[in-house]
Amino acid sequence: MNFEDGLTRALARKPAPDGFADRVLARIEVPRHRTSTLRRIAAAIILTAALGGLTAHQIIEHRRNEEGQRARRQLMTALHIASAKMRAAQRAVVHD
Amino acid sequence: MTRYVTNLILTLIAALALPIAASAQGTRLNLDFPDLAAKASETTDVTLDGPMLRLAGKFLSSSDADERAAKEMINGLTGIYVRSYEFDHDGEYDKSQAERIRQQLGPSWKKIVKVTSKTKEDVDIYADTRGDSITGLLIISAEPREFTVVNIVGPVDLEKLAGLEGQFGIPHISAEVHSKHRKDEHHD
Repeated sequence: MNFEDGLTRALARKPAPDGFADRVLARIEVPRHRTSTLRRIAAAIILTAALGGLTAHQIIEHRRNEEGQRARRQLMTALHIASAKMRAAQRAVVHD
Repeated sequence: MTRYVTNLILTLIAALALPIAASAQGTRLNLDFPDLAAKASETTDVTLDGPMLRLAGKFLSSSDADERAAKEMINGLTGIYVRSYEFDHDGEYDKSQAERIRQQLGPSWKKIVKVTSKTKEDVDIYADTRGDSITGLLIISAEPREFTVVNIVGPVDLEKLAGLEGQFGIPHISAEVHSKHRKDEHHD
């Protein structure tokens, strides 16, 4: 019977020590906090990369646009000069 | 072995085809005049090779008559090169500079217009002709205070080029140029 009494006492319901629940919750929240931080870092990296890519694309597009406009102006200048010289030749031929 | 022979044949074909293709496209002439650039009071230097011409074409407006005409003009061209030098005083440059360019002209180049003036400008226009088509154009203009060279590489449509003058607000010259072409078809 002593054995049974001992078993009953051992298995008897006991109140948890003070602050036990808080300590358990605190230990559970650590990984949550870390996950959240990692997510924020990942989001920041993705956002930075996206903004960087967008900026780089805009810079390249701007340069390409400038280059194209410069080429257009040069082309028009070249054709104006060519046509002016042909006009000079025409004048001379007509006067001959 | 078969693969080696195939590669060899392909390489030979490419080696033969490239010069043929290049000659069909006309010739880019050497228009470098470092001495003139140093003496000139104003220099215009336009170098538009194939990719730059295509880029320029993309930026030409189809709503502007001049630019629309220019877009049609450059279709098929592989290069436009212009060197123009202005000087403060008469005779400040050596007119024999033009001879340096003429020496580069091969037998396919024909003089189509020659204008000589003691007081105004001398203008020579040459066309690089392959068969019935013109694959290049050279304009040399020598004035007392200005020396200009224009080299257009690629199939040049003289009608379109002449038409540009009308588009740019100056009269057409195609008829006169062509009649002169018939008279003077020999390269100097």
